[in-house]
Amino acid sequence: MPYLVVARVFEKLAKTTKRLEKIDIMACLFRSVILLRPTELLAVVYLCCNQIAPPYVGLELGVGDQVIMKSLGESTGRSLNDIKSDFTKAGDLGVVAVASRSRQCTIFAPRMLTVQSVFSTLISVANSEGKQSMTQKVRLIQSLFVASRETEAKFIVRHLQGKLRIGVNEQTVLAALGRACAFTPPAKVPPVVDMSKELMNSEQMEELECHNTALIKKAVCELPNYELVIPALVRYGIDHLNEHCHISPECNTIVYVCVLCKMIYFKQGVPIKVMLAKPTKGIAEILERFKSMKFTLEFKYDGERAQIHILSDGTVKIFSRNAENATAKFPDLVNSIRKVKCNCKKKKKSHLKPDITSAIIDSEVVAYDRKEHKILPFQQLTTRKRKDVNEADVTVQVCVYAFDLLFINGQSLLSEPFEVRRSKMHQAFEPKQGEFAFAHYKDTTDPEEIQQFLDLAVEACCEGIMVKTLDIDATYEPAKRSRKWLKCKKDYLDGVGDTLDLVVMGAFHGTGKRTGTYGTYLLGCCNSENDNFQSLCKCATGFSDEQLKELTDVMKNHVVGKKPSEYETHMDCPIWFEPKIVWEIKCADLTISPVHCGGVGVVHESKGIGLRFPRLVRKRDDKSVDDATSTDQVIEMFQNQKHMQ
Amino acid sequence: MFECTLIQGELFRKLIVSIQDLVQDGNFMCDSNGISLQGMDSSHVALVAMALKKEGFADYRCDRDVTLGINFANLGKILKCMGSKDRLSIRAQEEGDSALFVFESEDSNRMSNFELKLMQIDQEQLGVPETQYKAVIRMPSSELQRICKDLSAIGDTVSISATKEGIKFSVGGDIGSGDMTLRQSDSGEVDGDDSEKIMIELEEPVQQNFALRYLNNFTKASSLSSMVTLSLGTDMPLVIEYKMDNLGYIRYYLAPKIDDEA
Repeated sequence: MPYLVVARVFEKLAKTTKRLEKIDIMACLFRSVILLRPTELLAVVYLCCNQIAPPYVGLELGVGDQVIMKSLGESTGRSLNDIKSDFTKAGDLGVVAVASRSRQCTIFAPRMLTVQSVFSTLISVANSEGKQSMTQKVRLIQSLFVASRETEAKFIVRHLQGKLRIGVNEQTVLAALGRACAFTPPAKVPPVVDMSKELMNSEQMEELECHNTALIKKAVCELPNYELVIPALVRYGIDHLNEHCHISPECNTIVYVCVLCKMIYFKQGVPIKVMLAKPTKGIAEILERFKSMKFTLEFKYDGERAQIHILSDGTVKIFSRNAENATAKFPDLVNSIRKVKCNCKKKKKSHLKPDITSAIIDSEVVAYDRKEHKILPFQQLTTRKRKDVNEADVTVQVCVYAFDLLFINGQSLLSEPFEVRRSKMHQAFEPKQGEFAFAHYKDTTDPEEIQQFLDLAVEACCEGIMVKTLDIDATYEPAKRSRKWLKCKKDYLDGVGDTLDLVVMGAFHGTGKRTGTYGTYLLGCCNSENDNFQSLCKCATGFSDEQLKELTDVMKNHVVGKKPSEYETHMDCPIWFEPKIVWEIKCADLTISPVHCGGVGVVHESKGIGLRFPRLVRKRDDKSVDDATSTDQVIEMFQNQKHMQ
Repeated sequence: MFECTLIQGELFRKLIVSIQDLVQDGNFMCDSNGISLQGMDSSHVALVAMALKKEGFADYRCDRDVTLGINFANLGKILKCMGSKDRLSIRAQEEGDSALFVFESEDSNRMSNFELKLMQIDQEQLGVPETQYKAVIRMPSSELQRICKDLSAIGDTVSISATKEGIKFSVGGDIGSGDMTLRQSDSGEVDGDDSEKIMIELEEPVQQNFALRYLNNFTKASSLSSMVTLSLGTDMPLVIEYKMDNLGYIRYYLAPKIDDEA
């Protein structure tokens, strides 16, 4: 299948801002693929999401502009300086790439780009490493440029940069897939368009679409790996998708070979997207929301989210909040869980009772002082090395606080209520002080006791408390920020509800004492609808002098020459950064601002939401810009605030 | 079984040197007539074609056609180990995954064996159409090499124009512009030796632009032959050919650049 087909669709998608239109355009593409080239659906979906591998594999593109410009120079015979000056003018390498369609003729026209060839070249680019990697990358990218037609080069550049900028996020792609499956159901033999569906009215059709989308989303949440989900969809059809793609700590029970890159993911646990909690402001709000329901309180430990997979062959895998593989970061933790496995056989004391073969635990890993037996602040945990950690060198000990059990002995617990999941967890594991513990909890509805519990949590060096439904409406919902889980942080109780995780967009040079550093930063939230970043505030407080210097040094590496086109703001910063870094920010309240653009068009036709009195809480190296607070969340916070007044 | 021996191993080394910067890897196609190779640079602008006749070899045996997929940089590394006066033998099995390179010194006192791993290279053979060129120029190869080198200091594109008067190489760049014209040598000057002579066969005047960096790459082959032939046509690739006495040739094809519309 020619890549040009996909590139033309991208071009069309970029021209509209209407979500429904985008879904329709993409659904048409998917329908054709399902009908004509079902085996290539995977590559097409990957290209649309601009992914090349499941997130937990850690294979990413993000090729630097320098490499792209070099490849462009080599393939068109233009000098690097010419390309650079064009780039400064246009501000978008993709546009430069198309405009650079060279004046140099070719001897023989290169073979046309296909979806498969583009995809596998992208994978090779991502995989190239070592001292020759630069030349290797340039050569691979060059081969794509040489063969590109029309606007193909533009989207190749964007694939490489890791930002497609066609205003499409993964959710849109899945919705389009759901729509495509409604009109052209895959796995029908012979593969013809189901004409009987034409008899349905549009309402029924819409319902079917939503139903399909939900099925696909469910599969992707439980098994966030398109290489498993899409082939299953093509092979078994939408109605049987969930029978074949469901939660499992052992992917090797599902036997699909990745046809595209022949990489082997078997024997590797597949992380489930974690369930998230909604912020609340106080006890009154909690009681209001859970009026007649049974609920429980839990300590909210201040550490890193960890999804621990225990596979039946004894392998232990740990995944972060973003479903990235963090196993290498916690060898001590892996070992203590593995030790447990050995101990089981000897019937010694262990966290794992002997009849456990496989399990998935949701937990928080916190820094722990094993001598004093107390939890250490989050900052201690961040001092641990992130890669190639050697167990002998670990200075900051950690303890796991397990709070949920998603899977045990081959059986998914996702649809069980929390009360059942929790009791199964308590039955299955045995805590060990300083290494493995259960999250401290209390079942109560008395406001007084909730307050006491919250104080207790704060005293125990926790962030606050979690409030969860126990029996009614208490299933585990991957990837959802659901009302079933509420979080109440200690700092919510004053000022605005939650802190915000904002993207660092730009900076102003410091003056006076701050000369030589960036004195003020421009921060913003992530708008997934438009696929851009909207500024929320200028922040100049909350950092110490050392921190100011440290942050400057870090941010210097992310400076770009020109305001990135995906930034929406009326501020004009002398320094702009690429969207890479996320900081946690606290503010007094939210207001309508003439210069900031949070949720512009929603709360006010031309003005956006801005933060008042923002201050830096801490860096969030564990969050990527896609995990930054979204515009929708900002709007919700703003509206909640209005209610309170 | 494929086996061949070349008395002047150095010649083969020079051949590889004049290919390796242009093409990463390629297939040596060996058959009963000789060895040939074709390769395009990664941006599809230049093509190199080489053919060595079996008559040029001291020894040549090819029972069945063999394709040797070679990475030229790696082969270059091996050939660096060869003495300048050494004889070179190449051996390969039909289905083997490596080729053997043997260097033997003139006095047969030193023998070196190197085995090069072969690659599977998926490459289509491109048919180069025989065309009638509007202008064919024969000139000393050192002259062409010098012109290309000198002009590339000024700009990156050279315009080559062939007229009755001669052949003109012109270049323009940020610092200024320049040109060099070579005239056809007088036929009266013939003194039996036609090296150092410039001959132009012209059907009609022609002018084309080319990227100098490729030309500089091609002229690395100057040491293979004292004379070089340039063939020009309108909207056609330029052909630069170096002939090696008795052994064969190496040809470079270069696609033209289109004039600035602006």
